[in-house]
Amino acid sequence: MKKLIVLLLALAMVGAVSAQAAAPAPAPALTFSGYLNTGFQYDTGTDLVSLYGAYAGQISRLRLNAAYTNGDFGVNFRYQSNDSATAPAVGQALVWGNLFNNMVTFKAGKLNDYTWATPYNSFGNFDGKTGIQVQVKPVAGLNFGVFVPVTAAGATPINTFKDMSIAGKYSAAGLADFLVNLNLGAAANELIGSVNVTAVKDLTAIVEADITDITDVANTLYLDEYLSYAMGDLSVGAYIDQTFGTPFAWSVTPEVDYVMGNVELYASFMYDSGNAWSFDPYVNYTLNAKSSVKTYASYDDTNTFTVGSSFVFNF
Amino acid sequence: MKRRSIIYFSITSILLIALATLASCASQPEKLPATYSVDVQKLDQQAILALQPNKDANPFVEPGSILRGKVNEFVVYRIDISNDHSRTIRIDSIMQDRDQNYIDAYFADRLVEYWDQNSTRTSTDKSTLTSYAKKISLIKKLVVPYATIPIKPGKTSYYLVFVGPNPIKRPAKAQIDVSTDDGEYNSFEFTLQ
Repeated sequence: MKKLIVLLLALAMVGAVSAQAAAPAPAPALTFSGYLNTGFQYDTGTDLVSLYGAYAGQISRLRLNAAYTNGDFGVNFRYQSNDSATAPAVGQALVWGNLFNNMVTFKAGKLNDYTWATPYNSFGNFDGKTGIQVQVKPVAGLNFGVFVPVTAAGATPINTFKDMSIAGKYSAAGLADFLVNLNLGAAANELIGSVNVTAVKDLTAIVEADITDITDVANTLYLDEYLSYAMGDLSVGAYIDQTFGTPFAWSVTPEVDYVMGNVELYASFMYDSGNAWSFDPYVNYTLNAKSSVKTYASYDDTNTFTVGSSFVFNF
Repeated sequence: MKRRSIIYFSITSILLIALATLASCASQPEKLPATYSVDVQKLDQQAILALQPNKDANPFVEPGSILRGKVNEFVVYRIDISNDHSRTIRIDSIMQDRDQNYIDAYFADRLVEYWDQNSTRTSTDKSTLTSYAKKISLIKKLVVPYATIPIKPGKTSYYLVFVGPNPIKRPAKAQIDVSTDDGEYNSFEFTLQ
């Protein structure tokens, strides 16, 4: 027991040394931001022209963010429409605080958190979930803690804590970020993990795993890998995924991306184990610092041709 | 099958790390600097875009705003360190605008959190996920991770990002101090006009 206490004290002291210096805080500030993401498309499969946004599946989304920050405490709100630009609702509403020289962070309310989410697909995020999150950062690079779901209807203490998430992330500077997130509140216990390699400046290399039932890994494991290598204005990469179970399924999507000033040219080709495929190029033009327009096309194995434009306006 | 799945994930992860580590070592062996030195430079827009020409994937390009031009103003500094032996450095920074208001420097995790809240990515649009993953990956590779950093011999660069309201009131003054566990100390002062 004494050894444990000594170890914890040592960790706390190292952490105190490693934590960011207590620089003077900026003046309290209330800021607003948001975006409108909309557009239109036509596809030969449905023979319909539809509202569309950013190639995202009939989305026209309006989002408004507000953030009040006062030193180590703050409040965040998000008000957002659904994907048809109707039925706006509060998506996030939380208070947060940093304690003990930023060694502990708490959030309470309807959260906005991605600290323990995987870097590509954001598995394990707490965006929009209601509850309390406590992050502990005892040494530089390590962040672990719990998320306890709390609803307006309430639940007994036992039922509340049995549904919590326990998660941790370690950033080994110059090597990789490692993440583990165990969600005890999923229908079956869910285990999420990822490795994000940070050793090479021009290489993005991510592996993610999502096991939706840890008692049946063989049938509930989803794995994905994203690799991309940048060579100046050109980058090439691939997204690959595997869905374990019966049948075992996979897909591979090589991509190429080229940037010329404000114009981005992109193309990908998806092929999966069911012999489905699609070719998806787009051109993204940055109008100015405030907005961009993307014109895209898609052609797939069902002979469906899709073309459209999407617009993102930031407030 | 369960064991095979876990082994598959482990092998893939290890292979990626090994590949990345090999790639990082594959370049010509670098001659070690004879002495310790530090230099700090403010990055202009051209230097920022050289890090990632795709603005959607560049974490140093501020999110735009149709009303205000930009949601925030970023001021980015590159800290170049030539290091003759392993040591621990500490980076302290401060920025004040014309009215003496403090502007925060964001370390890597805080900048990631900033982009979490200012991202337009959607799960059904892979290209936005791709840009976001590249952005986060670049932050993790380049931005100062925390105040106290162990560094190896050789040349190392870190990027420090001040995030203020747009526009930061000029003239603003920044000071960046880099100290080491064996007594080296360098201080750099900048004025934003």
